[in-house]
Amino acid sequence: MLKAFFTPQSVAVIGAAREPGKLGYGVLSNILKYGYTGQVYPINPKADQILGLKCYPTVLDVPGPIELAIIVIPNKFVPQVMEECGKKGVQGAIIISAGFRESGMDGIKLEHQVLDIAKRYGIRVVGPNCLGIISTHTPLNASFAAGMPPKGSIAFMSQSGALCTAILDWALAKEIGFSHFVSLGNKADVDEVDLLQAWKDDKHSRVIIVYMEGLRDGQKFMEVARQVTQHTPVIAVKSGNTAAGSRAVSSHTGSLAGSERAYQAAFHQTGVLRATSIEQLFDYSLAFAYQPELKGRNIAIVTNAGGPGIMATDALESSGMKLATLEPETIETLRQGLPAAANVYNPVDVIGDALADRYEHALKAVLQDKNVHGVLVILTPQVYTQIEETAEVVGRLAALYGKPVLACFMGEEKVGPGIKILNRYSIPNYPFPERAVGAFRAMAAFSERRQRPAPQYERFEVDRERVAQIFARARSEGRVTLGDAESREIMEAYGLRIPRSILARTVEEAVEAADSIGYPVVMKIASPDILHKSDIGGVRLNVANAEQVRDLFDLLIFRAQRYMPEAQIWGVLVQEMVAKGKEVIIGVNRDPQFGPLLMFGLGGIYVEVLKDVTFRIAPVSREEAVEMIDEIRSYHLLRGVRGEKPSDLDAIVDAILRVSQLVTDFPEIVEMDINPLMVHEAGKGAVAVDMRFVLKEKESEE
Amino acid sequence: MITLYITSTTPYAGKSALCVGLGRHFQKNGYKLGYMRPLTTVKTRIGECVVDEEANLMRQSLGLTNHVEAIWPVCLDAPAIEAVLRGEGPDYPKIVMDAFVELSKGKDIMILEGGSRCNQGLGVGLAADRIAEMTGAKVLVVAKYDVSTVIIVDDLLADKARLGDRMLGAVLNGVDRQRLDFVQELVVPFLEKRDIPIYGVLPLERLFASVSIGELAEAVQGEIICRPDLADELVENLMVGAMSVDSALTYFRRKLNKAVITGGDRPDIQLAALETSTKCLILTGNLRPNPLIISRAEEAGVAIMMVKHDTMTTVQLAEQVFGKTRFHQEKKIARFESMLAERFDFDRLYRALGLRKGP
Repeated sequence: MLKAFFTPQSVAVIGAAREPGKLGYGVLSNILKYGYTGQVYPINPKADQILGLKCYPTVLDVPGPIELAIIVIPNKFVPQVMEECGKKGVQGAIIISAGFRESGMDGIKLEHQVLDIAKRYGIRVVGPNCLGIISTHTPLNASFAAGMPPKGSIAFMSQSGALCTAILDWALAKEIGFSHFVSLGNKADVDEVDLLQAWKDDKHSRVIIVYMEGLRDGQKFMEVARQVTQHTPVIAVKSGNTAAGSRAVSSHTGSLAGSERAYQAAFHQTGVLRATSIEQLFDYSLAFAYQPELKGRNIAIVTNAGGPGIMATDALESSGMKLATLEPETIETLRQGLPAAANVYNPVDVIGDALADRYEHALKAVLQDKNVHGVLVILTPQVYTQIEETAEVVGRLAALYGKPVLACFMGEEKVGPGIKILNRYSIPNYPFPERAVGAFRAMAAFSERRQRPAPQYERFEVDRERVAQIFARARSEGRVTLGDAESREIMEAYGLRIPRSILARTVEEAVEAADSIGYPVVMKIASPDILHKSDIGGVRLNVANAEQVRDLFDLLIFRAQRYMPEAQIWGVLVQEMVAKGKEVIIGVNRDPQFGPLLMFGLGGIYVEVLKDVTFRIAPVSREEAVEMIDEIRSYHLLRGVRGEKPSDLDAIVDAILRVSQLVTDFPEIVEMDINPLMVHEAGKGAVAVDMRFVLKEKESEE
Repeated sequence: MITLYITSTTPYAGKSALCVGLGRHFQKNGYKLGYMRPLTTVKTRIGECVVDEEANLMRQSLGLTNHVEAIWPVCLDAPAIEAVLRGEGPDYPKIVMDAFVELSKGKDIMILEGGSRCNQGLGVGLAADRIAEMTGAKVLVVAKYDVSTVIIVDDLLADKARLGDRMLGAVLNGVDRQRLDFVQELVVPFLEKRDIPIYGVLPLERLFASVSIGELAEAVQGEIICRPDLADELVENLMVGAMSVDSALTYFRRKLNKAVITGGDRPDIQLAALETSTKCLILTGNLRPNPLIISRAEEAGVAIMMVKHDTMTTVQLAEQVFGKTRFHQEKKIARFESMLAERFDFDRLYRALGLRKGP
């Protein structure tokens, strides 16, 4: 897939120029300079020869086939050239030219036009308004970038072309290798999802990294990302995660950014690692690109300084990683090879006067220990420290044991030559221990994710037809919100427990209803006109017996008539009094990019303050539902504190799964919540006390 | 010839709508229709001529060829009222009768659009009962169900007492959907028992209170910069967008067919509005929106207008046009006709008037 872009047999540069300094010259010269071995055809009606190659007026004049066209001409000529490419049978086009969607109404129209032509001929398009593509292993530098990164195993895609140039420059200085380097530009056709798919099985790419501002189709992204992360780590920086940032994205891309929570949930569910900065993006990607898989959370630290060792330990602990417990034999070996003042327990401190040999002894010992999954080597440049020699030792040993080794040679000037050596051995170096630990953590997250089975979505027996009818009726009446009775009916149809409830029109009916439900009961005035029933004293809890029911029936009716004489009164609703339990919320809000965003959290009166909630994109599996409950801070409250009986967690999981099924079955639900879901002791279930629905309006008829 | 006089219990009850709805039904069944509004109190100036806009629109809606002045023979404007008070007014019943005779020539059915209350025009001898007597009309009363049931019932009973056998019956209009069953099951039988036939119970629809995008643009002095072809589209709700984008979606989802007023520099809010049921974006501060948004709106069929005012002023201006709506828009008429087809007992009306259905 997308082979034409990465390993084409022949390329044409449309708009190749003779004058250095022009983009059309830069692109052609990059292709030639960086060793492309296929056929290259400059296209320029006004030139005979450029850079020693014969020039053709149009692609149609080229004798042989053309697989990839790189278009570097003024925007208004692009449609015509695309037509010609179509006729020529070109498979891929990189449109570097700007002046499309990013530039205003005319540009938008032009982009649509170009895309229509591309679709008609089946040409895939990267760009427009992009920097181009670099594939180092082909090698092909189809870009106007200044330089070519070394061969490597990082595949990089970016929505921002300018960021590409900066990263490229930085990578050149640091000698960081890439497999592919793609600037997506306006993403008229090829987008993140296409590239993920294309790179999924690419033998040169060990890690895929993405800079994105927004996605076109969140659901499709999830589907593809889920497959890719089974074997290749994907790291993403998603910008626009604050209100102001998201506004900037909106005006930059013209699309409503999905909510930050939805992105967070989607990344989490698909195993895409989220980096919060470009720095982190590369911290993580170097570890994945250079080192073998981290198969557990236990890390050994070898350091020549106590302070940084402790900082690294703190970082490990607080990020959920573990300081490996060394085997007694390892400790013994360490004791024999290290001075008495050294610390032979993890973190292993070889102390300040350590030369390279002491590092070698310690590193060998911990790498051999079966309790150790990865090693962090910390070096501070002290008086006797052999920086380069130590780097050599680390590099040599790291390759022998199949365990990841990350380095933290702290400083800059003195340690510089050492870092260069580490880089040659593909040992990533981090200036501070916390960043190295962050990389380990990302590695652990990736391999744990791989070990998890693919999510299974359970389906319950439900009465889907009934719900469809309720929605159809509401929509036929031009409503987007549902009444209480309708909401209750939906809950019932999807097997969620609701309080028993009977409408009584007379005192006798009320007593009968209360008798059949069992005391105590709740009584509520039933009127379509009175919205805030408790405000007028229209709700009474804990009604204990028939006598109270009689008194209250009259009182409630009287109050309602008194406060709102014109209100239509149906009678009194007699309801099961839901026993006190733990209040939780289950909510759904449809995200424009990802679909139903499911929320779970602690309910009750403090919910607004505590915001103790967690999110997933529906549908969710049973494991994910359990994870949601585990994730909230108040999880321990649900487990029961100080001798309290635990709450019925199974009933919560069940409710989450049923809601997940409901909103997946009915995409017209744009919002809903159950607040509160009253959860009782384990085995006693949960009851949906109050719920609310908002539907999408009917699709417009136009 | 049959004459039907349509009056109401309160202003803005839906008289014009019923005149057009019934009138068109008669026309479709092959009857030659005449229309007159015996008495009015307002005149509007269009260019040089002082004409009544409503009368003009009614002519268009019913496809009539008579002069506006003829359709609308008496206008009690301020000078006319003063004359009446001095005892100097003309013989109004005669004017109305002459006009009626003239207009009803060659017609099978005359619809008279009466005052907004049964007793309107009493002072000049033009109350409902008087006109009905003069013209031999049957009276149909429209009651808008936006007050309590007691008031509706009392008003209709009072009209019945005043009009007696002249009263053909009533139509209950604008009934909240949640109340439909209640009205149908309890109110209708009660009135029927007291000899007030109910020809239809019509539900409340926001569409009838809606404003066209063109009207809105006029009200806020806006310039429609995207999809001016949608100027006749109707807006039912007005919302203001000045929140974070996450809450915007939740907020915008609750109202249908709305116009959203927000700053031209809020692309996130504009996009959120486009994501939900929106007919029109009203962008304040004279700030041109991002072209990407214009193109999205164009595709989504949403008009955009730019306004020089700030958001506050724009809201005030826009709110003024809501409620003061005109019925004479093809979309509203079509919807009202289909509502009548569904919920108005034409057979009964035809029988009561002694008409045959079908040409």
